[in-house]
Amino acid sequence: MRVKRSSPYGPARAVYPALTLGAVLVGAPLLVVTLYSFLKRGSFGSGVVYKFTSDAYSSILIQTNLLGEHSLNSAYLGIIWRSIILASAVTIFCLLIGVPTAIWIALQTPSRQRILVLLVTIPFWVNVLARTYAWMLLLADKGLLSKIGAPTLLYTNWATLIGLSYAFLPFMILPVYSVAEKLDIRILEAGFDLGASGWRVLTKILLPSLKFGILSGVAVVFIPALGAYVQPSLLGGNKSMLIGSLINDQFGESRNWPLGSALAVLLLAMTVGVLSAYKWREWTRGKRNAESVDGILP
Amino acid sequence: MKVESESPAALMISSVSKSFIDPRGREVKALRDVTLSVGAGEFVVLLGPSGCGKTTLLRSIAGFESIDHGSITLGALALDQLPANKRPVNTVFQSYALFPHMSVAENIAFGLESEGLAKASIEERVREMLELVRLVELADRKPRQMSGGQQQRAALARALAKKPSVLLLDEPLAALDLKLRRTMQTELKRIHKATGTTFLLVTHDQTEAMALGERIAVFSEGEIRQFGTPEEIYENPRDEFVASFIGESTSFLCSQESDLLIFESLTFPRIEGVTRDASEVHISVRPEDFSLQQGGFLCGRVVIADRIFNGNSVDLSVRLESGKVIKILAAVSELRDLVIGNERDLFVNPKKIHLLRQSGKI
Repeated sequence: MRVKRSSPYGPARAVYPALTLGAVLVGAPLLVVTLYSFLKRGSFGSGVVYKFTSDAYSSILIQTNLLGEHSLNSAYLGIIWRSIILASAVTIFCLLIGVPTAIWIALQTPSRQRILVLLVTIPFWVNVLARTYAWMLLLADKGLLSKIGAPTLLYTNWATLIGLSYAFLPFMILPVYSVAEKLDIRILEAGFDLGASGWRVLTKILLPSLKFGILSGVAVVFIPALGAYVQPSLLGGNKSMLIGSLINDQFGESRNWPLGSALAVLLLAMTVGVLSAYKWREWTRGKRNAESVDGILP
Repeated sequence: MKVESESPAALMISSVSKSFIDPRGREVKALRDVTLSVGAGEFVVLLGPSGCGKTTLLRSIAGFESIDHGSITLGALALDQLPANKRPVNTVFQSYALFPHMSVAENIAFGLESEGLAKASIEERVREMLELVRLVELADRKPRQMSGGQQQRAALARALAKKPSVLLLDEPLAALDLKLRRTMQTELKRIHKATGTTFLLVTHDQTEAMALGERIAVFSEGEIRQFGTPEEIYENPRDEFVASFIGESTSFLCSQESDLLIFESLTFPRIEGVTRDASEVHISVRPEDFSLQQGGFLCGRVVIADRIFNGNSVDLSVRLESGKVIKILAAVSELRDLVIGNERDLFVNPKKIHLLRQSGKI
């Protein structure tokens, strides 16, 4: 049910300047990127020529050899696929560590909760590059971890996975915690009281009650992990190309701005597509039980 | 509709003790040697101020707290040896603790699914419970789409669906407004009668305890002060705590002089149970058992200090010479004669003077 609200604090137009500024700052770069993706590559590789073409998109799928023959290009698809796998692995890592941590924090006394949430956010105070270099020191050959007998992981996919999971873990913990903290812990007792086993209480009561926190955690971890650039290049050594690095290269070494833009638009379209499909499902279901996830997913 | 509970058996709580360490590191004795026997099908209320241990006892029976000493048995079953999910008792929580992501019907079915019952019999049982608590139309609602009273009914249905031997209710009506609380009290009594299950209800509200309990256990500081029917507890409070907690009353620590009990400027008749050699006698009298009208036993002279007309009676405060104020209840018809500052004779109904044991000296 939607209620028409009139603001008691004055007319809604007071927020228009902020809305306009926000819309311009978010929308303008998106428009530029979308525009560039439909333009021709500049003659010396840098910049664009203002001439409409969909070449950038077709070149993602189709390659043309020197003889002018067309064939399917699987290289980019492979990179996109590998990025999805890696982002999924990062999300699963964050789920496995983040969800129990968030629940544990929510079970502490309020004053301890405040301290623990502060601790979770501390990594944000340090620049992401500095944190990534710190991981390089830990994972490197003769680094701290190898000194205690761990294998050298630097410049492997494992290093990328660890670095990304570390970077995005707070984004999983915080939304799950914010839901868990509001949860009536008595519902777990109620579960046991009604004869359920610990496993049943976990899977049928606790996790479903945290559903919206977990879903927003998955969204805010998976999406940036998909396009991540810093960790794959520093920790993974760019040995296996990911979509973030690929896009970066198009604006740098490869000098193909339209292709870079097209890949960025494709990445965006994929993300928006998955989220819309989810929202659509919730919405059609919501018509039955008046459940809404408004404001939970970005 | 008659819904039989599975195994009617008496709940026996024997010498149960339990201590906590509070956040400041001090030991708090929540239960001190509590013994209580609840008959099958009985409706017993645990009454006491907050922090008196009554909820701890309920949670110990449910299995959410372990006990340090003593035993809790249900018939031949050693309840305290079982984990919470194996005990044939179910709880209605103060916060209701309904599963927010499930509909009412799903909430009720949850405990039955844990038992692994067939789908058809679960559906039948859910339907039966919805009818019992009169929520059939709201079966598909989520808890947050229901009012407090409806959530209360759903929580009741969920707990009763398992046919518990004992239903534990932890301040179940505390979150409801006064009018709804009255309605739910009647409902609870009806459901208790319909199911025949043993009900053990915790409350801090003495009128609720009086309205619901077949027997009431009055708790204070982890101990049961008195266990009896509402009438017994009201008419014969055993100590000062019970007398002051159940209804209003004034207590007098009297000395004994030739068959009379003397308290400052007041005299009371010597009552049954007072030994002649007792130097101090502790008695209590309820406001309605004092009177300014001729009749009963003349206690002495008092001054009317204050009067509050509250519709169907008059609350009077009268002052002794020493300045001590006693509360008494007067009829509306006396209102004209009750002038503040007037000196009057105070009478007491000699049959309604209660002998108290000193608190802590039982």
